Amino acid sequence: MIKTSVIGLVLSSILLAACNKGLTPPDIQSTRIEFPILPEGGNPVGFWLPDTTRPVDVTLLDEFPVDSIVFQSKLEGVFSLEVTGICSVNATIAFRPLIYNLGQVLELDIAITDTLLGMGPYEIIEDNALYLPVESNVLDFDTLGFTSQMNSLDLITLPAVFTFENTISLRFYSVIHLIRQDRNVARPANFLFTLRKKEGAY
Amino acid sequence: MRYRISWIVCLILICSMALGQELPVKRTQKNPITGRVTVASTGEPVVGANVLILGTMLGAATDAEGKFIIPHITPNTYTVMVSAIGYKKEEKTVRVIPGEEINLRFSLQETVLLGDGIVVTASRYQQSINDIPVSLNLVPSQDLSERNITSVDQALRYVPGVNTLDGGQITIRGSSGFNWGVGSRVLVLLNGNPFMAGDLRNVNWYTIPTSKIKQIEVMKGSGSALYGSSAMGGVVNIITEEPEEGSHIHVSTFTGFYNRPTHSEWQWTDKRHHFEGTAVDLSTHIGSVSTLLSSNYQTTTGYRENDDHEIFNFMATLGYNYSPVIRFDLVAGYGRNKGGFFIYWKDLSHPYNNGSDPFGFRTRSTLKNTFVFPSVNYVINDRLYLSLKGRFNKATNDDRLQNKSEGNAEQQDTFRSSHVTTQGGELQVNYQINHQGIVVAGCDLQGDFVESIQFGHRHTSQSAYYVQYDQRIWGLLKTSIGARYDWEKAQGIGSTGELSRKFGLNLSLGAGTHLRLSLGEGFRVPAVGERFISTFTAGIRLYPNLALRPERSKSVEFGFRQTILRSMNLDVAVFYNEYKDLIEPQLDNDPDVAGVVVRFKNVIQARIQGFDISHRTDWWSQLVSTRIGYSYIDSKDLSPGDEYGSPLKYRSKHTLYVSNDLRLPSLSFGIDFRYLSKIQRVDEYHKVFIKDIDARVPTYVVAFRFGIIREHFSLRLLVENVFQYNYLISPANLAPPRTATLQLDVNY
Repeated sequence: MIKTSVIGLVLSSILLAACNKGLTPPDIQSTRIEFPILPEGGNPVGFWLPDTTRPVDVTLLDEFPVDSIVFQSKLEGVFSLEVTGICSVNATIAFRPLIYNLGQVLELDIAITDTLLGMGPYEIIEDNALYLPVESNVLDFDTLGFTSQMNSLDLITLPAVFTFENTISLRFYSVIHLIRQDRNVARPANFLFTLRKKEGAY
Repeated sequence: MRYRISWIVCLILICSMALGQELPVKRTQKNPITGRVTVASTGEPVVGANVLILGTMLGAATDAEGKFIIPHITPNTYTVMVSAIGYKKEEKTVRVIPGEEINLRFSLQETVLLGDGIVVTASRYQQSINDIPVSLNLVPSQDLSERNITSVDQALRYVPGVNTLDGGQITIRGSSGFNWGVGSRVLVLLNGNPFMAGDLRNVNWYTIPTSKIKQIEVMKGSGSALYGSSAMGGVVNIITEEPEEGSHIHVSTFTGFYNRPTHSEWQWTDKRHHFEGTAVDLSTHIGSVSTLLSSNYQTTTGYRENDDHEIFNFMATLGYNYSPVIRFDLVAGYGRNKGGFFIYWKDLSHPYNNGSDPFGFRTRSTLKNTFVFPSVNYVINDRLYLSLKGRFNKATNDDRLQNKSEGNAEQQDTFRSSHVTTQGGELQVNYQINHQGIVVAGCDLQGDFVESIQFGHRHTSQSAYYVQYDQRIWGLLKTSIGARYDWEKAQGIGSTGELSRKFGLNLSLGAGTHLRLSLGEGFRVPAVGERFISTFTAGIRLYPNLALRPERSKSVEFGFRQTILRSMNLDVAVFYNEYKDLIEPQLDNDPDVAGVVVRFKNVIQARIQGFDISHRTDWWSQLVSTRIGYSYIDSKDLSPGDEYGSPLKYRSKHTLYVSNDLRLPSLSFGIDFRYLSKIQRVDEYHKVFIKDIDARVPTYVVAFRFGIIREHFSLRLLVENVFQYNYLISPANLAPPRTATLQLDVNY
């Protein structure tokens, strides 16, 4: 009788201990995201292609003792955000800084080329930021601010650092300009370039 | 044309068997066997006891006074067996002499095991569960009423080797992973009639009222040699009650609530979540006519976002004994399920929020199901029995999008719908060759007509022919051999044919010991939905695949069953199953399409082996009952590629069910415990669109029951998930928190 009671007690204890666990919420991280410029939000759902007139704006966040630094950039690919909460991104983006100083143009051999590839559920945070399941090699494109109007979508990246020759680091952010497209329109194949000066550099 | 040929074959089959039987029989005077069945301890009549003359097709059921009559018995020596749920089976040998009426008295002793009775699913005729060559578990009606089971799939949770997932998907011995119920590898029957929707081959559980179910038979292992497509993993046969003599009314009503989530972060609304329902059953059995009207209405707010439901169902059964040898039956019903559509969570931080609804919308769904199953059973003579069944089943499903901020679902257009009509019938002939041998043969015809936004307009037709021969040798060894040929033609696809075979042995060693061995083959024809689907749902584009082939399986099982002191039994089965060409949804690379593209494909070759053990004791007239069921499943994915040798997805290796009941004259207590080990793998493609699907834990669930029982009413309190354990009922789908239910039953 005592044996049975002890076994029952042990089994009950194991059961209670086991039942007390289970799934728990993941550690909550702050979802407040500070973007360099304020995204205005809107409805990001749609099928988006690069704006051929100005695909990407890159803006430096620090002052440098040069006349100006501009970025060559190019973007091609598609951004599709479905009404079902699923997105697919397949794009390539490239930056190359050009340094203007004392009438000379310094072309650096180093450039950043990144591939944005991802497909899965996206999430809208605080009405103006997107979490995208995008994998990229160099820069982070999984958290983006967005401003959407009827036929345009601007994606704003978080500040990133661009370092060359282990001496100079450039802090910058970029704005990807997209325009709404019908799905059946063929994707543009040409590389597009834009030059953007840091404001107030001259 | 094919239908005509099938019917002609059937007619020839019947005529030849009937003629073959009539020729050697001499015209002799036939006498009835009459008798009365009472309870040994009290002398009260046993109503509804099953009386069978072994070795013949003849039998009867006892009336309100416990009396029975079996007319037209050819002079010979027979063994008459009487069985009833809750009583010990009894047999008597009688010699029928011309001109002499036989009157038998049976006094049944109580305390026979609840799960130890007469079953029909294993071989398509009534026999003792101890005599069958396959593993079969019985779920008695008591299990449903004591647990306030409102959907039949919930009742299967406590069957060893069986697991049910959210959405009503059943898996037996790991036959299925997780596919939201599409393409079930378990065939579900209602009184022997296939009860699968013609488009997705899933089960509309909401249609079947649970208050008047006599028993549920769960046959494990490949059963296509008797039942055809879908019976790869097993067969579940739901058998409704035969109304007792006189008129009766039964009203059952319940109300309950869901506890708030364990973690405050998961609280998604301030509203209280609750559920309630009422079932009313009217039954009459007067003379040769019996009727049962059963209806059920229940509502729930759900415990998740967009998870509310309103369910109504109605079922009518009519039985008419036209003569002692001809009986007509009709089972008809209607069910409607209106409500939300929760497939998976938003993420683990918001597990009660709907992740499957489109951005800014909620999906509202209306499902309706109407079925009619007429049948006629004719005992042509003491050796030949004929059963002709018809089936009509119409299922509709309409999904609409409702704007979360405004609008009404009724004003939105239907974006997904499916209307399926299934028509068919079956002819079965049982022929008793001698006292020890029986042949079961038949043919089955069915047509499915689908009109759907996502599947298109499709028509499939199936025909099947089966035969089985059971022979008892030396009174101890029972052999069973059978085969079935199924032919299917799908519009735009062509036709396929499948031959399934079976072999079984059951050896009685005396002293309640039985050994069994069975080999079976199974297959499943792809559902219309799997072949033709073209839709955009839950964030994925589902595209058709017309090249799908049928799935196939082979199963081997060795079992041991021991009954001890008539109050305890132990059943152990070791099984080995092979699966080929299993159909699974797969990610597909389509360069022309942006987004996630999925197609159903024949991709998985697999092997599942393991064992299950079930043990049951019912002491002192079921005063104390204990049930234990354990199942071990070792699954291996044998598909060529990186995943070779890894466990199959969404399978638990260990499952354990323990149930204890104490039933005093006016009080009852019960406690249930369920354990399922953590599923070993999840589908990679699900990770593309379901967040945190890899979050998995083992399942530990405890339920508690307390009841006050009186002659005409009972009041029960049920607490499910007592410890508020957070587990999954399907991937990315959190189980309900603790629920408390108050249930009142009134019987007159």
